[in-house]
Amino acid sequence: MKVITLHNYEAFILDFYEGNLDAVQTELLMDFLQNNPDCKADFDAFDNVKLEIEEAIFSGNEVLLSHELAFQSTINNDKFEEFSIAFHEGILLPEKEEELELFLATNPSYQSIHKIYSSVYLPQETIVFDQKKALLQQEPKIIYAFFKYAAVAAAIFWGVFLLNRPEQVYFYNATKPIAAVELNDQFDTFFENQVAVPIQTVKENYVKQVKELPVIKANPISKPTLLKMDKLEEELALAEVTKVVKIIDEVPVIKSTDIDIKVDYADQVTEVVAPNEKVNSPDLEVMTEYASLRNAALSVIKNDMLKNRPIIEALAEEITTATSDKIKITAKKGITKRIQEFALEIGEFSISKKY
Amino acid sequence: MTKSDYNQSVKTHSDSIYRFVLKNIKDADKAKDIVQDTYVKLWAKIEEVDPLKVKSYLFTVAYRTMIDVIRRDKKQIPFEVADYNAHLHQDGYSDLSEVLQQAISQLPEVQRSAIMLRDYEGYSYKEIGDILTLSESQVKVYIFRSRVFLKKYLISIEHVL
Repeated sequence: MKVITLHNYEAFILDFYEGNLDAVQTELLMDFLQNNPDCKADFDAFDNVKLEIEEAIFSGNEVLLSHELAFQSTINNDKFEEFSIAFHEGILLPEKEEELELFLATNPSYQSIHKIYSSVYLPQETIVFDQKKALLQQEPKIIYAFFKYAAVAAAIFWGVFLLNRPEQVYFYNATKPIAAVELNDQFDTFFENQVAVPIQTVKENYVKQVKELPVIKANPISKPTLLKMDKLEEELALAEVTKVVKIIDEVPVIKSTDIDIKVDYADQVTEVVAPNEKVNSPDLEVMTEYASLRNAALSVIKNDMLKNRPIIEALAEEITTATSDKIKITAKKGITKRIQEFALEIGEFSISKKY
Repeated sequence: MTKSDYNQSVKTHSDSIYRFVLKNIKDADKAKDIVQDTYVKLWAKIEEVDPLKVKSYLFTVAYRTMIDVIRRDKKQIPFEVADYNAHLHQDGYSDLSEVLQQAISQLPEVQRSAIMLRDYEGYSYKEIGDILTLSESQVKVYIFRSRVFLKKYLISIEHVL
């Protein structure tokens, strides 16, 4: 229990008036006050400090209520202004409007007030804020319009392009007739090479202008022999480049299959020299009849024209001689002096065949 | 809201905001500054503001900005100490509108704002309460008191004239 002193007696006085002291503490406080008259004066003064309860009446309750409730009462002199304001505010119920009109009719002195209330509304007034431009933000109208017009222009351009697009310029080199080589006027011999589907394509940016090959004269046998080259020979023959004419897109490249040689005896008997081809033997008698001619022709070809070389090598030599450096045909011989590899180079193209 | 909505709000509402502030603060330069501050704040929150509620947002921001300016400048004239004879000028009054303008300048700021939002902008009590951060009942009380004050003001003018 705390001892009451001059430093804490106010707290005991406050607790006493608030009823927080028990009987013993109250007895101690009274003893202390009796022994300290100055403190007793404070004790008595504290007793007088009381706030009296004041009754305050708020007169504006009517308008705090919702208009459904606030204006249910009867219109009288005291409430007229509230009803008049509510009427002009447009929140008065229809039946109360009628009641107000009746009130005004029976109390003409309030009509002027009612009229004044109709005038206490601020008239519309136009004030222009002259700094709108400073507040406006740039909108991407130009970009939007640009894209719109660009899309239209692109569509028009594409349409014009489709209607007027240039012709495609796809060329093969073999645009001119194959050069004929007359070997003999006794019988015609056709050398035909099988050209398969191109195995690859490459781009070439020029067109070779063809130069006619010279006619190769061979020793006549009995009948003029016409040597005709197929597309391979055409390309070989036409491959001499003398001038770049125009741009082309793609050029097929010949395949790397065997070059088969067919010998046609007077257009009646065909013998396929190539190993994998069937020999057509339409008529034995005809075969017999022309057997000697065949042997003779082959002998002429091998001995005189081919000089005992493989025919492909002879052709390569002839073509190489007749064309420029841009076409190279080489034949490599092995130890057995047989051609083991044949290579053809036309510009950037090259193929080779190993035997 | 988009940039286009923002620009449209400038074109549509800036005059009203400016009028609302100018009538309250009676200083054209400060009113313009407040309008600009209001739109700067709107621009800063352009992604958050609903385009359909931009007008209410603008008035709310303008009102709060204006209150800040008034408190900062301490130029607000309390209603209690208003000079009721301030409206008596020597040139006389041209019309009722001018008298009313003089009258509302005598109103406390909150009542003046409430009655201007009501009469100029046609806001409902609830909308005014949202802008002024008051309850609907408080708005009604302020507007009713404003009407009574204006009526008394007009009667006093009639007596003077």
